[in-house]
Amino acid sequence: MLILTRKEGEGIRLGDDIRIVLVQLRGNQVRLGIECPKNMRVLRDELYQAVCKENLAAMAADPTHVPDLTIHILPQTSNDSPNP
Amino acid sequence: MVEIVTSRFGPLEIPDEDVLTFQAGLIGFSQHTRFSLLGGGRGLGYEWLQSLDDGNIAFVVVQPGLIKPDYHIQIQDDALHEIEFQEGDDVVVLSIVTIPPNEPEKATVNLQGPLIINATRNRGKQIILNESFPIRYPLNSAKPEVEQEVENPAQTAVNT
Repeated sequence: MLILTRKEGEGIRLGDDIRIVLVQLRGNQVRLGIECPKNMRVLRDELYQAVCKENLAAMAADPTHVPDLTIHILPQTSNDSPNP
Repeated sequence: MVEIVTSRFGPLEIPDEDVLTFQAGLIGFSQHTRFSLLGGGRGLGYEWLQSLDDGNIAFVVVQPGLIKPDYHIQIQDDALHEIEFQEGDDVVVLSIVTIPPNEPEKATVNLQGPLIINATRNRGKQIILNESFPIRYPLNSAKPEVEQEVENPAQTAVNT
């Protein structure tokens, strides 16, 4: 991992169109400003990690348990009828 | 036609038109790009999303609207682009179900990281929503209260 030291107000650029600025240092937190193309997704890393972890947990599903889950399906009130 | 031996369903032969391509894989499973939905018609309940790259990997999925009728999400343009969405295409949203080993009553559904599938073009993607939704939404929160009459009339109105 590349590690850079930055002071408040300083930033870095990733390629031509991504800029990350250290906006503020406050106790044990830093505020980052991110400028990037609109269609680029920016996510907190822990959220990505959490979904990743959940996918791993979901992979262990046992087929014998699936029929037990059908009781949780709500009766459908919408107009999209099930396919025949 | 894709032939694969699966740990749960034995050997399968999947016709090409039933192969879904997840260009970026699922989150944490980027190497798995080909899947197929097994079992159940659409809207009937649970299905399996079986990896066609590894027979051991499959996920239980459900349409989140069947569990939480007021679940509405906004799909960003880049995600729509990735599933090659064009006007008139049929897009299905599915959520992955986590069933803890031997505790199906504690099953949860991941509302934060749904799958979007362009059924017209057989393209899929797992997205992470910017808005905050539960990653572990208990399936039994959808169960209608039968024993206790605590049903909220306002909640019923949402279903219509």
